[in-house]
Amino acid sequence: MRNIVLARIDDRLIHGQIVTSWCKLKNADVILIADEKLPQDTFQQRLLKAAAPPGITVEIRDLAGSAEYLKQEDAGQKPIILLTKTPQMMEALIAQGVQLGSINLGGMGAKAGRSQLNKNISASPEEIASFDRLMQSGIEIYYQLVPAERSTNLRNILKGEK
Amino acid sequence: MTLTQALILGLLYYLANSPWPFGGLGNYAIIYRPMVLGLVVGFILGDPVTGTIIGATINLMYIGFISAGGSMPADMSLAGILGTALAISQGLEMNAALAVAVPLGLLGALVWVGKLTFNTVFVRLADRYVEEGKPEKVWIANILLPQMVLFLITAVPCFLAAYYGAGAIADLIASLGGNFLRILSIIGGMLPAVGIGMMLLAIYKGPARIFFFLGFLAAAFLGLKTLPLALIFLGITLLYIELKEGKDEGQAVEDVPIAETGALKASKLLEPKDVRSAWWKWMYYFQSAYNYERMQGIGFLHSMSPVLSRLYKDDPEEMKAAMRRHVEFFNTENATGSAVIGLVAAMEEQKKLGADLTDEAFTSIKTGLMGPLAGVGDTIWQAVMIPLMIVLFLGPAREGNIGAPILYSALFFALYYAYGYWLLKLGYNKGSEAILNLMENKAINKVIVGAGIMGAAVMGGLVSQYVNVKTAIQFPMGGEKVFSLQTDFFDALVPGLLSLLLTLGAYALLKRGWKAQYVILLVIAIAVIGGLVGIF
Repeated sequence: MRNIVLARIDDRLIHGQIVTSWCKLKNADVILIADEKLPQDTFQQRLLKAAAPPGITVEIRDLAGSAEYLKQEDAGQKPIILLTKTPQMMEALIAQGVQLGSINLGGMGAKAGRSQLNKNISASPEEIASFDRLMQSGIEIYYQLVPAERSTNLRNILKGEK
Repeated sequence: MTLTQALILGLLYYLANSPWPFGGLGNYAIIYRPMVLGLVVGFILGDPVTGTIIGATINLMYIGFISAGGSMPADMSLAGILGTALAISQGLEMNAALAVAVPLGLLGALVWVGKLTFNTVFVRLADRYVEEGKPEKVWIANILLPQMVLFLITAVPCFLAAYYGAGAIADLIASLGGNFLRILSIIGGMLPAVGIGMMLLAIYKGPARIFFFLGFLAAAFLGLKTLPLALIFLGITLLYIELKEGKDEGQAVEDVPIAETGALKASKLLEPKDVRSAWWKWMYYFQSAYNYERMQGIGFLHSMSPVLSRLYKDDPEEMKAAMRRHVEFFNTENATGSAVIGLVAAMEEQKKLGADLTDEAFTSIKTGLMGPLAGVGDTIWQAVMIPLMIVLFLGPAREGNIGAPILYSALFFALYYAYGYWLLKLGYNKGSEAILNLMENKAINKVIVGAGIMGAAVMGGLVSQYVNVKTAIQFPMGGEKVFSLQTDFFDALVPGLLSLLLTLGAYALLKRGWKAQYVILLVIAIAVIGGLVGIF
């Protein structure tokens, strides 16, 4: 199992908060983006690779590829930031045997089918169901945009909503 | 302080958070910074030199400050305005002014949250204009109403605090006596260590670490000030990059027309002034109605309004469809986002000319670009250029040079708008492939690495000059003679060693994930206890 220092759900993937704070704080060497569509989109892949800070490798893989990559042994224990757009992808990775203790909830933008949970998070009923299943299996999900902000447990956000 | 002066200070706080006069991120980099505000407040209160000194001192706390993607840790503009006003009107010395300003900054962050929450209301209004197909009305939802709300939640409390609060705080400090003032001054001398520690979080890596110490030593032993220090280390940095990274192998940016976005004809429907007008709206009002639901969605729609008016004014159904696709969630960095404005304007033009561009094509290019461009843009401007330029001018400003904040502002404004306009043209004329090629060009990374190294050296110099930790411990040596731990030991060994240790300590805590507020509280506690028992 490789060394995941941050597992984050964020539909903007690599952007300012990742580049200017999380990568620095976690000393990440690798950003792994797990997504089913991106591996076929060369434009988007080049864009994401170009957006990463100097010295950080970006891996873009589908579900099976990501799970395989994460389950490999890495003697060097290189710090990895795992990014997905949705909770369902995190769930699928766990089902494939990837071990995660906690998940950071970054941003999920408003769009059709999603309703707003708090300031920066909107989610569809399917996504909320996925959150529930993840939390029931003992994984802590916390909302935190950047390290400088206080983190909030997703349970408290959902409680306010229901 | 007169009533008029307090009213102007209230207006100033509104302006610092509004798009005027320098534009969205222009304001944020210029008139939002305590170094610049210090000068302006100084002019208002009749003492620009003192104002500049106090402003620069307060700005030390906020060098490493970044607000990315809608997060906002503190409001440095409120700290800058009220801290400087308090110092000038009540004759508070600069370290004490800094100690009072920092909590005000934390309080001010509430305004930001309030603004983004309240602005959600205007999303409904913008949606209504979209359904009416009226781009000419969007400014009401993007500028008029949100700015009125912003005025109420900024100008009014700042005016009240300046008019009624300054005297009250000064009376309180006076009633607590000289010892309290002395401790306040110890706190203010120590706090910049936290500000510099925050900056180190971004740059203290690899070779930059050595340069940080070299900068510190050069300032401590040679007495070099920040500007000569910066120039010397600029030379060393260039040499280092040249030796380390070798020759540039980046390829030239190719001129690819908007191929995959479906360029059909070379003809143009848009006037140059439509594209320019879209860009000015973007530069100024991209974040005017910033809100938690769509972030810059209303701002993007408003920016597109000149383009849409030109293309779809005779086609109400197409107009509504176009407006709908641009009021969606959008969030990126201001100047770098100019590339998206140019690109999307070109795509709308191509669509009108008959290119097969679906709503999905627009959404995917916008959502695909916004994150990566924000990553690059926030790094270039917020993490590198603003701190580096502030650091360069902070030294002279701290010594009362009122030209320093003015020159900083002019230089920033010119660079920022030149960069934005260049990206607008790139996006509009050459399309997405050119934007991608530019981002893949390794030259940008070189600049970032180089600025990090040079910045680290200058930060080292700042620690030596502006973090002020001195121990008061003395040992009697018989008779009149005393052995002062500070002057006879530390100053003889390495001047400013305690300041360096405090800064590295603050950095280590931040690096372990401590919130800046807690590090600030810890430093205050150390200062208070140490001051009371006679360590400092």
